[in-house]
Formats: sequence, structure tokens, C-alpha cells
Amino acid sequence: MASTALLRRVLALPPPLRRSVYSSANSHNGAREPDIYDVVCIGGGPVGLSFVSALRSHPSTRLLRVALIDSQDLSTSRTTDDTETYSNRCSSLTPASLRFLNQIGAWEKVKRDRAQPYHAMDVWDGVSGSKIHFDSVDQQQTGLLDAVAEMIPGSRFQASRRKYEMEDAVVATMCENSNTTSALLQRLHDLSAEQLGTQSELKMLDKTRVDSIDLGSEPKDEMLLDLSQWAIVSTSHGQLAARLLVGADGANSPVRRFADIPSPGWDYNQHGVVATLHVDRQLTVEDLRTAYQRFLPTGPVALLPLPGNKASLVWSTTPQHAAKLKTLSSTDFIAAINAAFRLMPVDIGYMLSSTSSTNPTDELAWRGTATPASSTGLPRNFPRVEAVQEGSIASFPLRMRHASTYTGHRIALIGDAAHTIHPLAGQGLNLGLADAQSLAHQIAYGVDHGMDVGSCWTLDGYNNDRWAKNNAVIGVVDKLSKIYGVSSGPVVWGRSVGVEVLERLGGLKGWVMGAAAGMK
Amino acid sequence: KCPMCRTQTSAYLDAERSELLQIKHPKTYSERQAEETEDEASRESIQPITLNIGNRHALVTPTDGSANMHDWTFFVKPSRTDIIEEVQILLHPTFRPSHIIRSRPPYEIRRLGRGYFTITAAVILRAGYSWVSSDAEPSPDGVEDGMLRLESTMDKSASLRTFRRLLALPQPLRQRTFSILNRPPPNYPGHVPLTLAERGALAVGSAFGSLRNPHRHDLIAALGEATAKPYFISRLRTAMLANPTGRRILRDRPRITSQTMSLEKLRQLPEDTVGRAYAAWLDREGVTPDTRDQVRYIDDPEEAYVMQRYRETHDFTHAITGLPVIIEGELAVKAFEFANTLLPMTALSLVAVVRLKAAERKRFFETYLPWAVSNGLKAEEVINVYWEEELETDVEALRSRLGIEIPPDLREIRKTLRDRNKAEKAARDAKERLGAATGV
Repeated sequence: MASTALLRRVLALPPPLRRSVYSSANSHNGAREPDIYDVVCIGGGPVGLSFVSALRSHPSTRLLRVALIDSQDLSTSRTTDDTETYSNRCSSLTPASLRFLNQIGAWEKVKRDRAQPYHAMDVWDGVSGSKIHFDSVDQQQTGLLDAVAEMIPGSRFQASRRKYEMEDAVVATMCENSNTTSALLQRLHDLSAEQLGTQSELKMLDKTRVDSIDLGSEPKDEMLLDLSQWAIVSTSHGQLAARLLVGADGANSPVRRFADIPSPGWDYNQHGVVATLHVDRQLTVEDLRTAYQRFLPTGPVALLPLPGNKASLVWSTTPQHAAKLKTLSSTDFIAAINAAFRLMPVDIGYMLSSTSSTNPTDELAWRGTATPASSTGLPRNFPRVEAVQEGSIASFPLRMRHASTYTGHRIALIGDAAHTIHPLAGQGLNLGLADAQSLAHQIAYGVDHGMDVGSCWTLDGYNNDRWAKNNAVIGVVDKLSKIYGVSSGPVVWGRSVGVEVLERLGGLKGWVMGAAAGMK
Repeated sequence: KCPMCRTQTSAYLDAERSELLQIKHPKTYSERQAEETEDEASRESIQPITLNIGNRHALVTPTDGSANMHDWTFFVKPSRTDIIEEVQILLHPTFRPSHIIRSRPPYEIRRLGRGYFTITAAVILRAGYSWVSSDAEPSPDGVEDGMLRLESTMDKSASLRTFRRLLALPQPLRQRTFSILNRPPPNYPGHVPLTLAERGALAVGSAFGSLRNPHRHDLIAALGEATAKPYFISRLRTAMLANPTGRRILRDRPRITSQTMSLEKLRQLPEDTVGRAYAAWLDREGVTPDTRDQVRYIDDPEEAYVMQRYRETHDFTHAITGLPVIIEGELAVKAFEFANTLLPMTALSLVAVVRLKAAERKRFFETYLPWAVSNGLKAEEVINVYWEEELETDVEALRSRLGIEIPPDLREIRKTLRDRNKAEKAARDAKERLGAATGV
């Protein structure tokens, strides 16, 4: 009796509800139709979030059905307001990346007092001391007259062709990753507010692990959807079918593995040690800031400016040295950092070797007096590191990987899923953001021209645009790390001569800076 | 010049007081000294310059009865005119022309006018000079901070305003290279900085000089110093820094002289110790550990110490290998040292092989050169041995620790050969005499 009454009640329901009751009743075998999305982005890091924001900000792609999946809790990625502590994961954003973030409306949500633009770079060789100084003056248009003027130093002609620093002459901007991410999340939240409840609402699945990615099963009959060529993402919140599956899920990308795209490369046998440091100079917003990098034979060490008297350290060194650095006390760690910039490579190696019996602070005090700054190439206004932020010392292994292709059938890879690079040029996140921009642009083009966004007609444009450029940057950075890994001999002489020559050729230097800044 | 405000001053350095301060506050003194040398070497020098700006004035009564006219002369008088490119004087627009340029002193103009007004003088400096002032502007042809505007209000009475401004002199073009007429200060007592040409000439001259007269140890020392840079002495210092004992030596900087090495004490040591062997060798060869030549031509103080240490421990190398001080022995030790330290002077001194007799040369190439090369290469770096601490170790133990085999005793070989030759010669003479006497 009860079942007939129930059946009558069910049959009295309007058809859509009746069907959904029927299908949920039959879901004991778990075979539900997967939710179909136009774009499913796996990975909620800065690259994935910027890609989704770009889609949502562009009028052509605003109404696509997009899902974002990440295993971390995205709502708590808020950056702190404490001006005394800075996260040790900071990235250097080039002007091109900033323009992209501006375009998608995320840069205005970034906490600007926690971002530090810098205006010059001092790079020098740890073995020979030859150095090069980059600043905005070299990026101005130069011609034949300027080249001639450079050849007559001290002349009136050269003085008359001197350039001035431009108003907004920023080389790059240091920004904490959490700052960027929370700004992007804020932007997505604001964009979603407009489209709440509609079909094209952004589905943000955070705290969700991806259980598996498979191709859809063969349809049982012709009337059902054929998702056998589509990627189906299985999560704890159900299954998502993706017209285009975008992998922004980091170096060990499951999407890349699913697509069977090989990613050849090698490990650098180096670990990158990061920390947040306090230097001895309190600088304000009006001061011109400089980023410093010294190439040691074991790997480059860089000091990147943060607001106030803070700085971010990135030191790529051997795994043994990295392990030793992490075991040092605060004072010894600071001595080791100061030594890394000031002392000869043999002293640094001795300080960090397991057999050294004296502590780094004493070693630095002694060797510092015996090592004149003119012989090591130390820049004149290099600050002294005074303190290290508690708990900010961490390390990660460095590797180089480049996927053989960024696209597959209904698959695209952006960010670290597509390529990992040595951090010596600060290009990793910038390449990823450029990938996101390019893919979003390509999808917009596809939508405007009525294409299926997952088909190769749309995706090939992205591959053509980005693969060769990324390959060039990864290749150059890799060769730089290899050239500077040599500690004696003709390679040292050759690279020193090259640096000295490049330092004097303003036009060529400006071109190099432009290429590194992502301007085409 | 006063180191604080950088004006010319007649005050001079009080050496006694300076030394006292150095003893009392060594750390601060050395910091300040480092600052000063760094400052002087790399900073632009700043000089104050005084500019007097004003006007002279006279009231004239025009003959035609119109309002009184003022006959005024406006002047700009700088304390130095050699660095001024031009002075641009900007007058009230009712003057035609109102913009006057004076490129040569005296920088003044004289006019008849009707009233008082403010004149601006823009002082533009020559290329390479710039004003150190927040009011400085770029000059019309692009020199940064090359122009400074100064105002003066004309006054009924003659007026004068004095401006003191700071002038930044251009950086000298050749900062690092120096010439014979402009030597940089010494880095340590006894240091003589040499230009590249001087060093080359010293190397060539001392090479030939020491070949002609191998007893000129000062020429050999000079040859060593002149040829050690750029790479070899740095490599040796790096080898010392890479070794814990070597680092201790560089930290302590011990010196070996007849004061620090007491020979009487060394002679008392047990038979097979390094110290005893050293003293015995010195006595056998008739030399003393006395002042080896001071290093003078190496610029870096630490590298100079490394060279000095090498020189002073050379005798210890003789002692533990037992090689004598005659040319043959010296050449063997020099060959060993070249294989061990890579200093070019040791290789260059092997040219003295031409001074050996045929038999000695044969012996050298057959026995001692192979010994030197193979042992020098496989042994530990002898520069890293802290000899002062090894005086009581057993010689054989030290040799095996370093990986050195003892070569055949050269003096013994020579003596045996000499004795044999003498015996043969005596026998020959006796036979001849016998033959002459007997007629056979």
C-alpha cells in the first residue's frame, strides 16, 4: 500500500523532478551522468586561478561553464596584514605579467604595500668578480649616435646623450604567492557575484582530491551522449566531463600523465633554499630598490627586495649544503648568507662542509677582512643581512622539465605542469602566467569563431604560440646555470669577458632586459 | 683635504695619536680605514664652491627729464671659473633680449633700467661636473644636475649674495690602472705595487740574472713574485684555504726566522724527529734559517704571506728529503716543488740544468727528476704542513703521511764517485810512474 501511494506521488511530480527522482533511485550502481563542463581546470595555484579569471573577465568566454578543482582550501588563502612577516614563497612578476593581471582585474586586489617593485639588478660572477648592472636606462631607444657616444667616455658628446631614468622604470615586482592568489580569488568571487545561480556559474571545488581521470565509457546506445573521447574527472563531489581539461596542477601533473605527454628533462642536483631576511637598511616606497644575484660554482644566490627592510633569499646550492644550512642556528645562518655574497667560493664551501670545525660567524669575521670587495665584485651598496624570519627557511629540489607538447585531444597544460625551470632568472611563474594568458586568448578566439574549444583547431594556436618561446627561455636559463657551474679554466675567462662586454653595450643589454621582461 | 668636510686645510695627520688610536680601538680603526680607502677609491669627490651674486648700482638722472634710471651691473663671481661652461642670465621680460648667455668671465651684464626686479642666473657646468644639490636641474644639453638656478633681487644699494654650493667632480677615467707617476698606496709594509710592464721586465731580468749567478737568491725571489700572479699564487692560496691545517696557518700567520726557530732546542730533540733532521741539515749544509727575502711585489697581503711561507718552508723540504744545497740538490727540490705547488718560478729555475756537468745532468735526468715529479704529484701539498707543530714528529712517519719517498742521498753518491775517481786516478798515476821507471 505504501509503495503504491509513493508511486502515485512520484508520478504526480512534474517531469524533470520525476526524472531526477527516478535517476537518483537508480544510482545504486553509482552510474550517474557526469556533469558536463566547457572547461575544467585542475589546479588552483596562481596560474590556474589567473587562467580561470581571464576566462571569466573576457566577454566572449564569460558564459562558458567552468569548474576549478584544487585539493587545498582556497578560501583560506588570504595573505596576512602583518608587515613584519613575509611568506618565503615570493615570485618576481615581470611587467608583462603585471599587465596581464591588470587586464583580468586582479592586480587592483593585490595588497600593494606588500608588493615591492625593483628598479635595478646587480649580477656578478662569484669566481672572477666580473659584474653587470641592469636598469631602466638601458631599455630606452638607442641608436647609432648613442653607440658612438659610449665609445668616448668622459666626452661632452657622451654627456649630452646621457639618458635619465624613466618615471615608472620597474624591472620587475616582487610579490608573495599568497598575495597574488588571494587577489585572484577575490576577483573570481567578485565576478561570480554577478552570475550567481546561472548556468555559467563558476564551480569552485576546493578541498577536493581528484580520484582519477579517465575517458568516458562507450555509450550503450546511439541516443545517449558519446563521451568516449572526453576526459571524465572523478572526484568526491561527483564526476565532471570536460570539453577541455586544463592541467595547471604542478610539476607532477596527473593531467599530463593521463594525456600520456612525455616531459623530458633532468634534475639539477641542486636544492633551492628560500628564506625571508631582514637587512640593515630600512627603505621606503620612494627609494630605488635593487635585486642582487651572485653566481657561485655550486649555484646562484639571490637577494630580492621586499618592502621596508625585508628581503627574500633564493640560494640554489648542492643538497649537502642545503641540508647543512637548514641545521645552522640563526646567527650562523645569517653569517652563511653574508658569506655567500662576500667571500670566495672556497671559503663558502669550507663553511658549509661537514668537516668544518669553526662556526660560520667566526669564519666570516676572519675571512671578511681578508677578502677585499673589489676582488669579489661586490656592489657598493650591497646591504648586510641582519636577521632571518623565524620558520621561513625551506628548501626544494630543482629540476628542468619541458612537456613535448602542451596540448592533446581536449587537454591543455599550463604553468608548471607544462614546464619547470631553474629559478635563477625568476621566470617560472611568469612563463606560467603567459601560458594562461595565451590559452585564455585562444579559447576566446575559438568561441568567437564558433569552434569546439577542446578541438585541436583551437588548441594548436596555443601550442604554436607558447611552446617555442618557453623552450628558448628554458634553454637559455639551463645553459646559464651550466656555464656558471664551472669554477676554473677557460669557461670562467670566457664568461667573464662576455659579461664585461655586455655591460658596456647598452643597447644589447636593453634588448636582453626586454626579452626577460616578456615584452615582444 | 679635511676628511670630514673636504675643504682644503692646513691641518696634518698626527702619527703618534693615530697609532695610539689604532692600538686602543683596532676594530673601529680598521673599519674606518677600510671606509676611507673605499670612499676615496670609488666615490666621486665633492668640493664646495662659492658663488657671489649681486649687483652694483648707480642712479642716473636722464637728460630728457623722464623718470630716473638705474644703471646697474649684475654679476656672478664664482670661486672657480675653469669648471663653468656658461652662465645664463634671465632678466625681466621687458628687457630685450631677456635671456643673456655669458660663456667667459667676467659673468656680468650692465644695463639701464627703470625698476627693481629679480634676476635669475643659471650656472651651467662643464661636462663631467655636476652640482650636488636638490635644486640642481639637468642642463639644456642633457647633463644631469649640471645647472643650478640662483636668484638675486636687485637692490637700490649694491647687493651681494653669497651662495655656497657643492660641486661633484667627475670620476677619474682610469681608476684602477696606475702609472709610474701615480702609484697606489702599499697594502702592507714593504709592498711595492708594480705595473704590468714593470713586472714583465722584472721577470725577464731576474730570470737571466739568476741563471748567470745562481747565488743571487734575491733575484730568484723576485722572479718568483713577478711570475706568481695572476693565477698560480691564487691557486696556492685556495689550496691552503681548502685544507683545515692550511686555514689555521693562514689565520695564525707563523713566521720562520732564526728568532722563532731556536736551533739549540732543535738540536736537543731526539734523533729521528723532524726538528732534529732540520737542525742537522742546516748544520751539514752550513746555512741558517735566517731572513729569507721579504715578499714585496705581490699585491694582496694574504697572497704575499703565502709566498713568504713557501719561501720560509723551503728548507724544511730540503730537510725531510735530505737533498743538499748544491745546484743538483736545489734543482731536484725545485722540480719537486713545481709538481707540488705549481709556482712558475720553480719550473723556470730548472733551466739551470744547463749549468750542470754532463755526469750530473745524467744523474739528474735519470734519478732525481723522475723522483721529484712522481713524488711531487702524489704527495700532499707541502704548503699545508704546520711545521711548527711537526717539529717533534718522526721524520719517516711524516714522510709516509705526506706520501714522499726519500731519494738517494746525493752527497753520499757524489762522495763515493769522487773517492772512486780519486782511487782510479791514483792507480793510473802509479802505473804510469811504474811504466816510466821500468820502461814498459
